[in-house]
This record gives sequence, structure tokens and C-alpha cells, in this order.
Amino acid sequence: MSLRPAIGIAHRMGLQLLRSKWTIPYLVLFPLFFIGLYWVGFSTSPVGESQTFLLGVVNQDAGLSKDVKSLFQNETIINSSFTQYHTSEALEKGFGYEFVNILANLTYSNLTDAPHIFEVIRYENESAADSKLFNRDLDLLIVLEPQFSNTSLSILNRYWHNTYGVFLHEMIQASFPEAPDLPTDINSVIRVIGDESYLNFKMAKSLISIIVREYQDLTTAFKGPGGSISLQMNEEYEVSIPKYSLFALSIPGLIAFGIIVQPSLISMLFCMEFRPTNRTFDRIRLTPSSARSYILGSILIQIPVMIGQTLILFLASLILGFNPKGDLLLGFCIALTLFPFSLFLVYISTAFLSNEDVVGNVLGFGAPFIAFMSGAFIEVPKVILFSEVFPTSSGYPRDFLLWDLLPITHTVNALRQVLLYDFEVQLVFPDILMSLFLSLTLLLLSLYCFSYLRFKRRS
Amino acid sequence: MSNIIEVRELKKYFGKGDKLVKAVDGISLDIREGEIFGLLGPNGAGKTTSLRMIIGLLKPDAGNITIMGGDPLKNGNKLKRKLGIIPQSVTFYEDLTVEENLSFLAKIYNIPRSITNERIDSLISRVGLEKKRKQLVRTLSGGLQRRLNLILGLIHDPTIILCDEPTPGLDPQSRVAVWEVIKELPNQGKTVILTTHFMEEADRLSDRVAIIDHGKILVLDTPKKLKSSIGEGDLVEFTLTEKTNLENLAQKLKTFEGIEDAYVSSGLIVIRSLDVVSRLSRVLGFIESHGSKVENMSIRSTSLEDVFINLTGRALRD
Repeated sequence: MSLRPAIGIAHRMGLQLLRSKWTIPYLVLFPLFFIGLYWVGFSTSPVGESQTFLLGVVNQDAGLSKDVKSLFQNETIINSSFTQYHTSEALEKGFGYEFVNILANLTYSNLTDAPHIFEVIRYENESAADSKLFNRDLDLLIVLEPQFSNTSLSILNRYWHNTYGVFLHEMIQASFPEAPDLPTDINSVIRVIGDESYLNFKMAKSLISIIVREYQDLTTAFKGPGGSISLQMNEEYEVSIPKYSLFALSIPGLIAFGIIVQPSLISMLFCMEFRPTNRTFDRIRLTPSSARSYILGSILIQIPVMIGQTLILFLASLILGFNPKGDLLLGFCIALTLFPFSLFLVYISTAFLSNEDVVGNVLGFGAPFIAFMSGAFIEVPKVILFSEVFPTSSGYPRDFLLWDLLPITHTVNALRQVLLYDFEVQLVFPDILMSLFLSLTLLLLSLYCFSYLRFKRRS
Repeated sequence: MSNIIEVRELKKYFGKGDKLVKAVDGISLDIREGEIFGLLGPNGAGKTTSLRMIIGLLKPDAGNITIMGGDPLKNGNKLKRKLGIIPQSVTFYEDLTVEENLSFLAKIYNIPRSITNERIDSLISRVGLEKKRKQLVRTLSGGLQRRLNLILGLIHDPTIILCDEPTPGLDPQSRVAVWEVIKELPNQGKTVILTTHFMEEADRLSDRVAIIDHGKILVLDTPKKLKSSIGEGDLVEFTLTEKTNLENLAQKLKTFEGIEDAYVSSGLIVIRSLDVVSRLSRVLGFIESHGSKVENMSIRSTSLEDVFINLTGRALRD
């Protein structure tokens, strides 16, 4: 296949894009409008710097079971991560007791006046906290289940497993064969309750999820080199909450949204070929140039458009004060993995729609809808399709949700984790892989539809 | 001359049941190498549908098409290089210049760069667009856009050129420019198929004409033979002040001595006679005796439109 026709198509589309009155609005103004809107509305809503959230706690932890407790008697236990608390106390009073104290004493460590993150209010039972939650006297309520302590000692941690080759819960199972098979994910014994539409709840919930993840990662018991059993938490660990405004927290989603707005412009350009009054596409069909040349040419021109627009979105975010904690270049590359999905939107829409106004409207309304469903703007309710199947950075599978069928959901997740929480590439790899797999599958489907409906069908 | 295109029993139907439309209903024709072949018929007669099937844009329901010995559906890409299309609708990019449009198509046809520029220069000068070559097409007049549409179909130096209604809506100057280019094509070894509903266009340009209506070919011959087939003599068209009862009047005029034919077409009374001028005073007197007056009158020779009327009882524009 000669590349000349494809290059010709790319060149022609490039000229049309440069001269189209829609290029600047779609590629620059529309996405910037949304970023600007969030900046105006939420750039002064700090999360994590000085706000203290009202946290209700119902601690139902039954403590360690007798048999498990005896395993740790007279052993050296080191836990200096939350400095004033020692795991010896946890052994006696339960890990739930320790965890609630940790929450109550957490401070924003990167501030000199170190205000507390949570004001913890303890309740005997859920019903006592319900009305407080309803009246927003509480931002969030957590309930620690009875198995909290036993689960804390059964957590799976890949790092320690790789180092010492054994999980504590395997040891427990070996020592006490009659002991129940305990859950190994701390999230399964913590319930988070609150109003999903309440902003403070969302912010508090995101903080809690970070803390629980850290707790999960660091609360690890293992058989130490000296032959003793120790329960150790990383001494160097400190609670550090990134200081992001709501605007900054929304940036990964807004960037992803901006990228999927771009197909509207390209699709409108395609549809100009199908106009009944100017059948340029018929002219192309009457040339020996194949569908492959046409598609290749149109993809070639979309590459610089995609890179350019992503660059504009990142630059605009930075100019408006977005200060990411993570690797910007990695984030940029992750954003570019939306390219196949963006192509899918172009080819699937133009395979079936031939009116540029209709395509503009469908994708113009469709892009925000898709972005919304992916959780780019706000968190969407959980609709679980498959429980605990999707690999995560911590090594514990999470639920596969309905929204995970959208490639953009995974890109937004990966982008958030990298830009806001400084995750390394290997930790977001499952999401990137899933995003590419889904979008390439959809892209192939759309290319088949486009090629068949636009080039081959004659009757 | 050998046949360059052969069409046999070509059919294309649209719709089903009561809504079935026989757009093309068993057309057969041979097009000879180096001729201009006209397909003349009213709108909706099946001309464009036939053409779309010949060039492979539409799949026939039945029938065979052979172009230069090959099947366009099977040897599509090979034949596409030999076919040049000048479609009814314009097929250029309005936001590109004249030169960019031509250059784009040259790339699509994979024409070597070395000859692209030379060919663009030649085509642009043939239709008088030299001064407009760097201008965006959307800024050109309708006539100049049509001229561009014409040369876009010639950029790859095709052997067969299919012109689908190339001149409707054109100013006289542009129409003549387009006609001149088309008329010149056989001299360069090209074969042209021209669909039109302008009888003057078909008459002036075509070596042979097929008159088509309701998807069927009614007659096929040279324009001269077709015109002579309906009889000798010139035609006089009368526009009357009184528009009612024209049919009755025409029937009576038909019985006059020396009047070969008389009929109503598009609100006019038309008579055909060998020595038409000598019979005018009697005809005018007869019309006035029926309480009407002649508003306008014109004398002309027989046209292809008269052939169509003779065959169908309707005018081409009806």
C-alpha cells in the first residue's frame, strides 16, 4: 500500500482544520472553559490544609481472639509510625482501639501549626450517630467491624511476603488450624457511611481511604530474622495528606474530558464529506484509494491534534495553579492513552451519522456524559459487576464496576493516582492496560463499521 | 469503433410493495470508444442511477456491466484509474484552494509529483481558472466552481469520462466553457457518457443519444436521426391569451391541410408543418375565431425535446 494517498488525506484534513472556524472553540476554548469554571468555583476550596472533618466512629472491634493473642505474648513489638501508640496496646485493647486513636491524633504533618485532620466523636452504635449524620453534625461515620483486629493481623502484604516468604495469616492458620479463614483486606472490616452528595463527606472519605490504604500497607506482622515474631510498622512512615484544592483534585478528570471533546471536531470534519450537496466522499470512493488509506490518513492528522490538545490542557492546568505531586510527563503519557478511545468516538459516530450538526450534538453532549460516568467530575455510585477481580497497586483485587467498561474510567484513575498521589507507573499499569485493551477493542469495532458502511456498502 | 462499455439488462429497484420504484428497469446499451454518448431524460428517469451503477457506486439488482472488458465490481481499483467522474453535485473542498483540491486528488490517485504540477497547470488553463488557482473555492462563483468540478474528474487522465448533469444552474459563459472542454475530450482519445435533461446540451455534444424514461430506454440513435424520425418540417409555438380548451384547439388544427402535427406542450400550442410560414395567416385566423388571441409566437426547427414529447406525450421538464 502506497503511503502517498494517506499522507494526502492527512495533509488535506490538516489544512481544513487550520482553516475551520470550529478548531479553536473545540480544541481550546471549550475544554479551557470547563477548567476555568472549576478554577473559579473550586480553586479556593482547600482539602487537607486546615479543614478538620467531623468523624463519627462506632468501634465494634472484638479484639484479637485468644489463640491469636497468645501467639504474640512476650514478643518484641515495634510500632513507631504513629509515634505515641504502641502495638502492645493494640494487642491488649484491640487494633480497632488503636486505629481510632490514630485517626484522632492525625495531623497535617506538613503544616507548622499541625491542625488535626479529624475531630473524632465516638458512638456506641450506628443508630446513635445516624441523626448527627443526617443533620450534618458529622461529615462521615466509620464502623469498625468485630473482626477488625484479627483482620489487621491477617493482612496480605506483597512486600513482606516477597521478603520473608510467608504471610502471618498463613502462620496463624498453621498454628491454629481450627481458626477461621480471616479476610485479608482491611477494607472489608471498615464501613464508611455518609451522604454521597455532601462535599465534606467526599473529601473526608478520600482521606480515610488514603489512611486505610497506608494502614493496610504498614500494619504487617512477620516472622523476624531473629526467630521471634514481631509486629512492625514502618518507622519512617508519616501521615502526609497532599494539599489539593477541589479544583486540583478535579484536574485529571477535566483533562480526560477535554481530550474526548476533540473527536466532535474531527467527526464534524468527516461529515462534511457526506453532505448531499457536496459529495467529496463519493469522489474519494471513486478513486483507487482504499478504506485503509483513508483511515490511516485520518489517524495521522489526529495524532498532532491529540498531542497538541493534551499539551494545552496540561499547560492551562499548570498556569491556573495546579501543582501535581506526581510525575507530569508520566501523567501526560497516560492522558495520551485516551487516543484510541478518541478515535473510536470519531469512527463509530461517523459510521452511522452523516450530518455534521447531528454528530456535533451527539458527541458534544455525549462527551460530558461519558466523562461523568467515568467519575471524571464527581464520584459515581458503585454498581458492581464482578467482585474483587480487578488488580490494584496494593495487590488486593478490587471490584469491577459497571463504569469500568469505559476505557476513560481507567485512564482517569491512573491519571489521578500518578498526578495527585505520585504513584509509579507499575502501580497504575493494570488501569493503563485495561484502558488500552478496552479502547483498542472498541476502535477495531468502529473501524469495521466505518469501513463497511462508508466504503463497501453499495445498495 | 469497438465497445468500451457494455450494459445488459441492468435493473435497480428501490422500496417494496406499493412503494416499489423501478429506477432502472432493464437497460441495455453499448458505448463505443471515442464517442460522446448522451443519456437524455427528465428528472427521475433513471439516468444518474444508471451512471452510479456503471461507476460502481451502486450495486445493480440484476444485469451485467462490462467496462473495457472487465467487471467494475470485481476489478474496481483497476477500472477506477480509467474512469473520470464529473458528478451532478459538486465534489470539492470549499476550504481548500483550487490548486490544493487538484493536488489532493493527484495524491489520492498516486500520480507522481513530477507530472502533477504540469497536469494541474494544463487543466486550470483549459477552464480559465489561472487567476483563481490560489483562491479558496468557497470564494469562487457557482460557474467557476463547476469548472473546477469538471477538471477534478480529469486530474488522473482517465480513458472514460462520465458527466452527470454537468451544467444545470450555470451562467451561459460557464456553460459554454464546460461544453467546450467536454467536446474536446474525444479528440484526446477519451470516451464520454453524458447524462442530461437539457435537450440542447445532448443535441450539441452527443454523437449518439439514448432517451430514457421511467427506467427504460425509449430510443437510441444519433440526434439527427432521432429528430428526423418524428417527421419533416419546422415548428411554431403559440402562446395564447385564452389558456382553456387548448387540447380541443390543437386537435382541430391537426386536421388543417399541410399541418403535419399539432399538440399542447407546457401550455403552448405547437404545430409542425413543411412550409409553416405560408400557413400562419390561416392558423392565426382560426385561433381568433375561437375567441383567443396570440400573445407570442416563435418558429424553430425540431429538437430532441419534440422527440421525447412524441414518444411520451410529455415535455422533458414536466
